[in-house]
Order: sequence, then structure tokens, then C-alpha cells
Amino acid sequence: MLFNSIEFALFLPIVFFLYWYVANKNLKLQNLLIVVSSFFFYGWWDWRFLGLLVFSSLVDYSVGIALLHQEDQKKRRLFLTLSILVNLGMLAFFKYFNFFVDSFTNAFSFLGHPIDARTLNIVLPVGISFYTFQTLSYGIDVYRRKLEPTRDLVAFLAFVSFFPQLVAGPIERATNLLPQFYVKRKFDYAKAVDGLRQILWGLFKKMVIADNCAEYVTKVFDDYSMLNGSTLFVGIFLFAIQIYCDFSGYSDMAIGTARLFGFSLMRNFAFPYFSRDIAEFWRRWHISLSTWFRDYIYIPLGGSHGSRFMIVRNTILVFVISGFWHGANWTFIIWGLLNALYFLPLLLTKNNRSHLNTVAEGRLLPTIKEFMQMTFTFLLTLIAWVFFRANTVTTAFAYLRNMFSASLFAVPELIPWRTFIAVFFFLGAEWLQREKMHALEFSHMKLSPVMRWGAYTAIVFIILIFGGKEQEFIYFQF
Amino acid sequence: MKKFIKRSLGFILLILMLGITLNFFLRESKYWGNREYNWKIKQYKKGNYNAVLFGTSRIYRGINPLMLDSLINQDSIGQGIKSFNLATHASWFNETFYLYDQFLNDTSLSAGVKTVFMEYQNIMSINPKKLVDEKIIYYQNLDHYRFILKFNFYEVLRQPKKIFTSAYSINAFSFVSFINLTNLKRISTKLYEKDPPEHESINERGYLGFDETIKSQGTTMAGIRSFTDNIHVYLHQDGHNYNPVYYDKVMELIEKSKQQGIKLIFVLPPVRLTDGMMAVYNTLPKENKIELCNPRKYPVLYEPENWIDPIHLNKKGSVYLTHYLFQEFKNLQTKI
Repeated sequence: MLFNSIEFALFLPIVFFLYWYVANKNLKLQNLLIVVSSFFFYGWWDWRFLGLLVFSSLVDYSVGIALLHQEDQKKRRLFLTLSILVNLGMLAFFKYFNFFVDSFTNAFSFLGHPIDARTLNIVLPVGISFYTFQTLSYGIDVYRRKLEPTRDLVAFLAFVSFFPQLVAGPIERATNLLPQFYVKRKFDYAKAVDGLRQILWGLFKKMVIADNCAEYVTKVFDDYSMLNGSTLFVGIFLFAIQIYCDFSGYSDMAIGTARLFGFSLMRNFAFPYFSRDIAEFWRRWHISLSTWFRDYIYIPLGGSHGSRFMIVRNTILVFVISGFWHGANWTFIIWGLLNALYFLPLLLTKNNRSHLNTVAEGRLLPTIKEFMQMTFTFLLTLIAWVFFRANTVTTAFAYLRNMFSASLFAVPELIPWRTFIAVFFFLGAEWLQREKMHALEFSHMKLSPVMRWGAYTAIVFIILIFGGKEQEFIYFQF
Repeated sequence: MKKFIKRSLGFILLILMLGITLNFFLRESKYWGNREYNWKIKQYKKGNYNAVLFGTSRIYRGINPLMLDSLINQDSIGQGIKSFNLATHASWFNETFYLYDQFLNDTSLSAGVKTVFMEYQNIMSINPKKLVDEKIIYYQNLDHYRFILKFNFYEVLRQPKKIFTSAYSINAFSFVSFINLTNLKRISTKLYEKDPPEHESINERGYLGFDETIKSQGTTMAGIRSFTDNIHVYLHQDGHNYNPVYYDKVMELIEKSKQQGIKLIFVLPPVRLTDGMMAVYNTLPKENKIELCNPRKYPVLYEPENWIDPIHLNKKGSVYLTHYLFQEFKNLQTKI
């Protein structure tokens, strides 16, 4: 079920009503309702994959219980290995099997020993990359004794399958989300209203900005070989906006929906395109995944401690794995590698933490220096996005070659003016609210109810009028 | 909590009221969701026609009015016929009913029309994925919803096993009808108004054939066979177990047309037949139907080389179909 679908518009109020009016007296019942509705939400796509979700949950629940009573370090490690093998095994089979088979076949052919290997027609279960990482974090945290394993199976199932963030994150840590299922939730008016605002902003980002950009981007990437450099530049610029609005829009809707039910999810995006360097960009982009890699891969590998070689190796490894997480394609690996190359100079010169605050804090406009820094960082991300969007590495290089040609300074052949105007206003709104959690956070402003309701109504009408064709969220494929 | 619920409902009410009001004032085109039809109507208004064709792509791509006119006018039944093909892609029966109703209501369009050929179709349930398509939303209204409600009620009585499909269909249509009350997509459709992609190739009478040099897919033969298997059973079954709502709707259109001096003729092209559609078809008055769906009578219409896929005839096939339509129309006129 998509957040921007009619089904969800019916589903959400029904679950909300049952949650606060029928199951509100009993915590267990509330959690059970979350589990049932989450399974329904997930099963709407394909009920067959519910089995995988339950299997993954049961394995990690059992591993948690086993670790609770186990003091022998060897056995503890064995249980953790089991959890990792099951989760990564599922991921490897459903997401990477064909990629590995293809890559090996190509490698053997390249070496002059063609082999006949067959790929399988495997359907990727929605959200598998997200919930396997979430359950993995539980197993690892319990193993590290950072978290008391739960005996409450319903609470654990609710934690893994919690529908607002089940299929595209934020990838929650058990330490943050699981304890919220142990305590009785109270309806908080301010929190719920802000949740609705965040949902509205997420819908706007997805339906008005991302879906309209998508039409143009698809056209440009389909015909890139026949278009001039400036058109290709517009294409990748709009893709950058599309992917941000698509994914952060989903996160906004997820966080907002969770707030309606009394839950606080972690922030996933913090206005990343207003970053002054790549290190800041990665602190603001897909925060739940970046911090996951930091805590469970980068730091255990040694992080930024140790020799220069170790630092370089750890950084490259984490970025490449992050790229590979996005999809079984060399384009994602190169995208990760490119970001590592952007990041390493900052890390090695110890400049990776020079921008920890928000740009132009307390000011309306940035300084020229800040503006140049933001523009440069954005341009770097654009080049990397070409690899992310292209279907093959060859296409990505050809796209870049055509883009960086003399025609880069020609007049673009296709200019989607309406989309541009919408993007301009959208970026303006995000800039003005960049110190807040989301662009519709009005709590600090003294706006009259007429102004506020007027703004909400205008946004709803803009969505109704200009919303693009309903499209799946890009991150569902990951 | 009460405050939250009250304000949320208040906001939804505000949006609904504003939406309905805006919808009322901005209701410019009644066909805003069907760009092809919008475009065809503009072309249609440029000429004076006394015959019109309605239906899906089977008719749009299958009947060439220029050829039909020339055949009829050369023959003894010639009445100076001048026809226009208003059929559009995927205009299923419910949509065609709506478009034709609007056509009859707008005398600037229907005045002077004497004959209407309408593709006879099955009444299908809506695909959930298509629910929010503007092409589905635009023709939803309370009348249509009432029709769906009654139609499905009788479908369940006719075939109790259809209860879930029918319940789903009712829900889907009710929701879409509700959406259409406040749907403002028509504004953006107006803003983004574009001609149909193939508009330069459509001939002056609204026909566009499929290129016969494109070879039909391997599946075409199997596809055609799959719907020719039971055709004769359907063509000769009696119509006792028909859905009265379906029948009434079709008869209502015939009657409404008659009152405006129009003869409405349902054309059954080569198509996959179903029990439900044929139960009604077989009870219709003979002077209001033309059957081109008979492999024994028109074997050439079932030869794969005349098809581009299991749904559409190519240009060559459409020449045959137009010719047979002329012949059957002639037979009908002669009998009368």
C-alpha cells in the first residue's frame, strides 16, 4: 500500500480509530493491532512475502532470547552469526543472486572461459533491505549488551513490522523504537497535529515535486544520446530534486504517521542540499542508513582511527557497501565509490566536521562563500546521481560525456517551466525552514489560525491540482 | 483527542466544500479526462456529420469512416452519409455510455445525426490500479454510481459466486465517484492540455489504422483462438438469464436516441464474448444490432495476418471490418 494511494487514505483513519478508541485501554491489544494492521499493509503488495518478514522477526526474537541466558562468549558469537547469516542470506538471495551469477559469468567470459550459468526469476520483496537491517541492529545491540532482549513477541513483531516505516525506513534502532512499544502511548494533540503537517509536506514533496520531475527525468534519460548537454544537465538537476523529494517525502509521511500513533521515529533527512561539503551532506542524507553503517560497520572496522591506509580502506568500504545496499548493479557501487572519493580529502585533512551547524544560522541569506560551497557540493552530488539513475555504467559515462560537451552552454531543448517554478518555491520554503524538522513546522511561528489553515488548504489544493501520476517510491526497489 | 478529531473533520469538510464549489465553477469540459475524445470533438465540430461511431480502440482503429461513407454512398442505400469516428482508446462501456449521454444532451453535437454505431461491450469492473486515473475519474457521477450499484446487485442474483467481485466493484466506484466531487485534476488537465500523441496521423474522420507491415506477435494466433472457441455457443444462447440493469441501460440509450431521431446500432466486433454481455445482446431488437463477430461468416477477420495483437485489427483487417459493417448495415436497411 502506497502512502499516496486511496487505499492508504482509507486504511489510516480506520487503524487510527481502532487504535485510540477500541484498543486504547490495553497496551498488548494496541501492539497487536499494530502487528495485524502492519501485516495487512505489507500483504497488500504481496501476501506471500509476509512469511519472510515473520521468519526474519522470529529468528531475531529467538536469537535475542538465546543471548539473554548465554554467558559463553563463543556461543553468543554463534547466535549472532546465525542472525547475521539468516538476514544477510535472505538479502543476498532475493537481491543479489542474479547480480553475482551475472558478474561471475561475465568475468569468466572475459577471461576466455565462458560458462553457462542461469539466473533465476526472483522478485524482490518490498522493504527487505530495510527490515533486515532493522532486525540485524537488534541482534547486534543485544549481543553487545546495549539492549535488553525482549520477551514480548508481540512488541517485537510490532517493532519489526511497524507499518509507517516498514518498507522504506527510517531504519530504526531497536534501542529507540522497541522501548516505545513497552509503554502506554498517550494521545498528544500537538504531536499529532505536527504529524499531520509532516504528512502533508511529504505528500506535497512526493506528488507535486517528485512525480512531476519524474516525467521529465525519464524522458531525458531515455533519449540522452539525442539531447544537448544543457538538457542533460537540467535532467540530472531534476533527478536530484526528484530523488530527494521522493525519499524524504516518504520519510516525512512515515514519521508523521508514526506521530499520529504516539511514536517518535528518528529523523532521516535534514535539508541535505543546503550542505557546505560532502561530509555535511552525508550527515543530512538518509541519516538512518548512514548512521547504521557508521555504528555497525565503520566503527567496528576501526573508524577514523589507525593508519591512513586503514582510514581510507574503512571509508571506501563503507561507501561501497552503502552503494551496493541500494541495488545489485555496478552503477550503485560506482556511486558509492565516487562519494568515498569526495569524502576522503575532507577526512584525511580532518575537515570532515567543520560544518556541524545549519548553514546561515539565524540569517535569511547565506554569505557568498557559503553559497559557493553549497553550489559546489550540490554539483558534486549531481555527477554521482548520474550513476545512481543510469541503468548501466556505460550509459552513465555516455550521459556525462554528452553533458560535459560544448552544448552544455546551449539553450536546453526541453524546459519544464511549471516544474521549475514548483521546484523554485519548494526550495525557497525548505530554505526558510531549514533550522526546523520539516518545512511545515509552524509551532515557533505566531501565525493566526486563518493563515495556517489557509496554508494547509492551499497545499492540499496544489496537490490535488498539480499532483503527478501516482508512482511508486524510488526507494521501494532497494 | 476530541479537539483533534473535530478539527480534522472540519478541515476535510472545508476541503470538500471548496472542492465542490471550485468544481462547479470550473466544469468547462465534460470530457476533461479523455484527451483523445476532447481532441476528436474539436475536429468533429469543424464539419457537419450525420453518422457517428462510438466505442474503444477496436472501432477507433477498425472502422474508417471515409471508406464506410464511400461504400454506402455508392450503393443503392446511399443517403449522403457523412460519418465521423469518435471512438477512443480504452473507452469501456461505462465510459461510452457517459460520452454518448453527453453527446445526446448537447444538441450542438447531436443535431443532424441520424445514425450512431456503438461498439457493444461487456461491463467490466474497474482495475484498482486505474482507480485514480483521470480517464476513469472524469465520468463518475451519482447516476453512474447508481447504475453500478444496481448492476452489481443483479449480477450477484444472476451469479452468486460474483459477490466479492461485485462488492469490490461497488466500493471502488463509490470511492471514485466521491473523489470526482472534489476532483480538481481537470484544472491541471486544462493547463497541460495536449493533443493525443498520434493526432497528426489520425485521418480527417477520426480513424487511425495500425500499420499492417508490423508483424503480429506470436501470441496473437493463440489469443484469437482463445476467443473464437465459444463464440457460436454465445451467439446462439438464449437471453433469459440477463442482467436487467444492463439491458435497461442499453434500451434507454436506444429510446433516447430514437426521440432525437437517431438510430442507435450496436456493433459487435471480433472480440472475446462473455456470458453476461451476450445474454443482453441476444435480447436486443434486431434492427439495433450488427454482428461482426462470427468466424464462420467472416473467416478473414480471424486470420492472424489481419491483426496486430489479440485485440486490434491492423489496417488491412480494418478494411475488411469496415466493408462488413457496410454490408451488414445494408442488410439491416434492406430488411427494414
